[in-house]
Amino acid sequence: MKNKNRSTARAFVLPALITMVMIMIVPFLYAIYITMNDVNLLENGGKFVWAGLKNFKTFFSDSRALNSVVVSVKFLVGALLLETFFGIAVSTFLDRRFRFKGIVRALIIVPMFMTPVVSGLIWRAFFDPHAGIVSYIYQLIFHHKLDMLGSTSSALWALIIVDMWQWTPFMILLIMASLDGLSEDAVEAAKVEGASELQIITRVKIPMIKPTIYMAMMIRAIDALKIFDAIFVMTKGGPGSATETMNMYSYVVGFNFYRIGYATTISFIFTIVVTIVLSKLMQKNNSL
Amino acid sequence: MKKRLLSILLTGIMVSGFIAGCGSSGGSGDSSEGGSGDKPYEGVEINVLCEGHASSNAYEKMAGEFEEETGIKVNLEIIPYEELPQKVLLSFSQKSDDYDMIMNDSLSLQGYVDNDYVACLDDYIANDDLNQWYDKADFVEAYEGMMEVDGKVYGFPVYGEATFLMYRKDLFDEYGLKAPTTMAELEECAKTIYEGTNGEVAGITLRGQQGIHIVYTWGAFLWGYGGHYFDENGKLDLNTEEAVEGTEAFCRLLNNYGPEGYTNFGWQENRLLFQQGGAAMTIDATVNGAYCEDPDESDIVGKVGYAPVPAAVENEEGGPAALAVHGFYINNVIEDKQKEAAFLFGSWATNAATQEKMMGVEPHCGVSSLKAIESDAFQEKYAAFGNDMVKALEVANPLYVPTNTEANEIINKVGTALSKCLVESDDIAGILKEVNDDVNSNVLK
Amino acid sequence: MDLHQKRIIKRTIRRILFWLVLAVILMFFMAPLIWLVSTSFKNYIDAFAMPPKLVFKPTLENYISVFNKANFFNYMKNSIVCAVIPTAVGIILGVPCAYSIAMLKLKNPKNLSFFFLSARIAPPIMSLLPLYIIFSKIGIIGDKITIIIMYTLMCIPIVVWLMPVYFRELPIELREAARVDGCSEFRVFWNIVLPLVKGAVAATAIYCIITCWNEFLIALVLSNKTSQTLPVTVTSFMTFQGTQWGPLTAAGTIIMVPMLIFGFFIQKSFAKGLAGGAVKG
Repeated sequence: MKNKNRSTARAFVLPALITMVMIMIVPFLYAIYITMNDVNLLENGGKFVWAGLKNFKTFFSDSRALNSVVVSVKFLVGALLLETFFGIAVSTFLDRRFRFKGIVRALIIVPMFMTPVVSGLIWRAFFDPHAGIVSYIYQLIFHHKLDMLGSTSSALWALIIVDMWQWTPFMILLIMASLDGLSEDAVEAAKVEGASELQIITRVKIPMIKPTIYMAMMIRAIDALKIFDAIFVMTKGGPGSATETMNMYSYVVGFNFYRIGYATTISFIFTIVVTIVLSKLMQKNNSL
Repeated sequence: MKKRLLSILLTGIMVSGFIAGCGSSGGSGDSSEGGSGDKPYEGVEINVLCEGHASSNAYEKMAGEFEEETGIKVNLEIIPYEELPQKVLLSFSQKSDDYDMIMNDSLSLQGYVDNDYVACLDDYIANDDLNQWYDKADFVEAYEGMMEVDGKVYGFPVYGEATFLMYRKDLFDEYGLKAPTTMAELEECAKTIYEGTNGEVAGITLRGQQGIHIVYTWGAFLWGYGGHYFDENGKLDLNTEEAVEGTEAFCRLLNNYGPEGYTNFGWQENRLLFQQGGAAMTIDATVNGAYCEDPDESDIVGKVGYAPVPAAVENEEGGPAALAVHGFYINNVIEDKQKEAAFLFGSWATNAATQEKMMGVEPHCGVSSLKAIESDAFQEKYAAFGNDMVKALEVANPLYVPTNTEANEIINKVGTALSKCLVESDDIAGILKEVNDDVNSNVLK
Repeated sequence: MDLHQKRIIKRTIRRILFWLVLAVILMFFMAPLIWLVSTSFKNYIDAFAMPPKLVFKPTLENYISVFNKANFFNYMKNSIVCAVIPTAVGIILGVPCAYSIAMLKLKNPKNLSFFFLSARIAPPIMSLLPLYIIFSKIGIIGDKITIIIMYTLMCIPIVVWLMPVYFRELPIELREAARVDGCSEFRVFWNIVLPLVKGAVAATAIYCIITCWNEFLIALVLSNKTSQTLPVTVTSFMTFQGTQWGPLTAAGTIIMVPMLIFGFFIQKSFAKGLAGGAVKG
């Protein structure tokens, strides 16, 4: 009986597993081999030249690569904190009965279905210091022009705002759904005890929906680290290398410089670090 | 070296063999231009990868005429210029036959030739069955020259551009200024107008966007202050007083007298600001002249003066104006018949008559044919700056941006460093030294 | 009386404040879409007028130029194929796998799900670089199949990751009862479990489709003229001469409309599905 169970289980798992091994593990092993070679599509028609660990050494002495790690982390932290905060704030704000609630919810989550390339382009137009609406509003209030994408200090914030705009709805969607599922009892009990509305939110509601928030943050963290489209159409990593994330940098090295070997090394290091960190976090919280 | 010689020889033999075969089977000697009934390439299809440009758009509209004449169907794929080089290289390096012909700037040609990616055209040019449209003497000499490597022709010049200074004659008159000829005068003019208008009109506008855009305009200051890209050993040489001085001037101009948002100005943003009257001067491609004088586009028609790019010092190695030529190159791995069809299209597309026609189809003043430049159509449309453009072309510097195999990577790295200089300009010398060392130790080994 | 009036006023003010804040929130999330759609109907001059023109003479010229662009419908077909096939494969392979991880006695379910998870975490460029070289050695570069393979690689982990929570939600007795009745493990899955998680499967499939439809990096690198998908087509309106905002916004609108309609209809089950498991998890 038990054996049969296990063999069915295997039969269920194997097709997916084999497919993934074929299209993930095999290329991954190949990628490890590539990291130990100089592969430049511009030289020798892209022949592999054995380089040992040279690419890894280059990485740790490449200031632009190290900068890209910092940018990735900054972006991740900024986007994640803002999205979580506003996700919770908006969801709890909407957590009451009012007319058109269904429509409001449907409208708020519109951004997450929008194509990132297109929304990146829209925001680029918005941030334009001459014809952009963001700069226009800023100028009405502060009487001088704003060039968000034009300075090292604000360009990353502009990208964070775009990410926040696109993915806070994801947080809202998840948190609102689990708020809907909460039993009224605990909230009522707190009310009877005379808790203020803020207290109810922070002491009663948030602890109860913690697993949801946690899961949503994980998904966002994974995707925020992979952000590419918005950067590609908005700043291309600039000005300077102020918005060049690891993902962007490995694209530039791979498909602008044609140094496939080094590019693979960068994304390899990226993948390993991120996988280890996130998996530790996940196993700890047991929300697999 | 031996291998290359061999492959050239082989190509030659194969080509001549094919032609011999063609002659014996085809037989009909009257395959001249009039022989419309005889289309040896009927049914051949070629795929051409183009960059987004007025000329590509014109070709897209005119490809039908070529098909009518030769029976060759041309499929044009037009993609953003920024993505073109990588697409081409990936395709070439994989020995793919996806594209029979590609369009790109002359910067990349050396690399293509070194790797045998593109076909030498000399045999086709010498072949009377194929060369009815090819007229080497009709090309602007400098353009054609950039299609050659070691004296062999590898490409068709599609369009060419130089850079020049555009300035607002009306504003200059108002403030009693005359066209600057030195960098110091340029800065003085920018200052006068910027301060005179309380910053309403920017003194000068230049492309400041990271990457090729900033590299392209900054070059005027690198060369104009006596700097250069490479030393005699072929190493990057930007850690020099001249380069630092030029970069400082570049940043100073934009930071003090530039418009809002210049750090993200590409070609279009810069052009729009200038033609909407937002700035008193700009240094950019000659094609911008066509836009400045186009009443549909511009608010300053007839108010623009054109002058050579100023220089702070006389630079023996090269002047401060760019020469950029874009051409068609034929993929080396495709079959001979495809190559010949591609050659026919390339030579037809750059032929004087075709180019003359293109000017009527799209706003396109960078024509590479002398006859087209001398034509009435050109004189009529682009009279305001035509002479200045030709003058600019004569003095333009073909070494203006790097042209070696590593050009792409160098431009990206230098472009990133320059963008950094522009936004945090307190340590320009340090930033230049860093990128110089980086390129020399990691790129130019 | 006085107190009552005060309470009413207070409530009214609160209500007005609520709707005001709500309006600001909605404006923030909706503004880009509104701008996109309205710009797509504006001509060149109206498009960048400041302050934005709310009243303008709509034009269809942008849409006409998009539809006249060679092969636009072909690219749309590519987008559909490259979203539907990987999603189907992902669901067919991923759902049983997720079921197995959640319900059946595997040796190391943790390790297995971690394996699939790592595929979700790894940036696509990690697989893209080696696969590009492998594809080109086989000689299928530029073929849609390369994009489909890469997207399948994205879809399977999504399914395997999202589905177990739904299975865990099911009452165990249900499965046990069926088993006692003599149903095979497969019959239990097919006849009893699957119908119960229909909604979840649909929500997951939609999530996959949207992910594929909107994907850009992989399509940018792997596609060519014939195999490109719509997000790549959009960027072709960014030319060396600058960005053609009119046609770009029109194309952007066309691309997004199906996804927005999709999203609108599934948002409820989608929300429940995504969050439902986590609450208990």
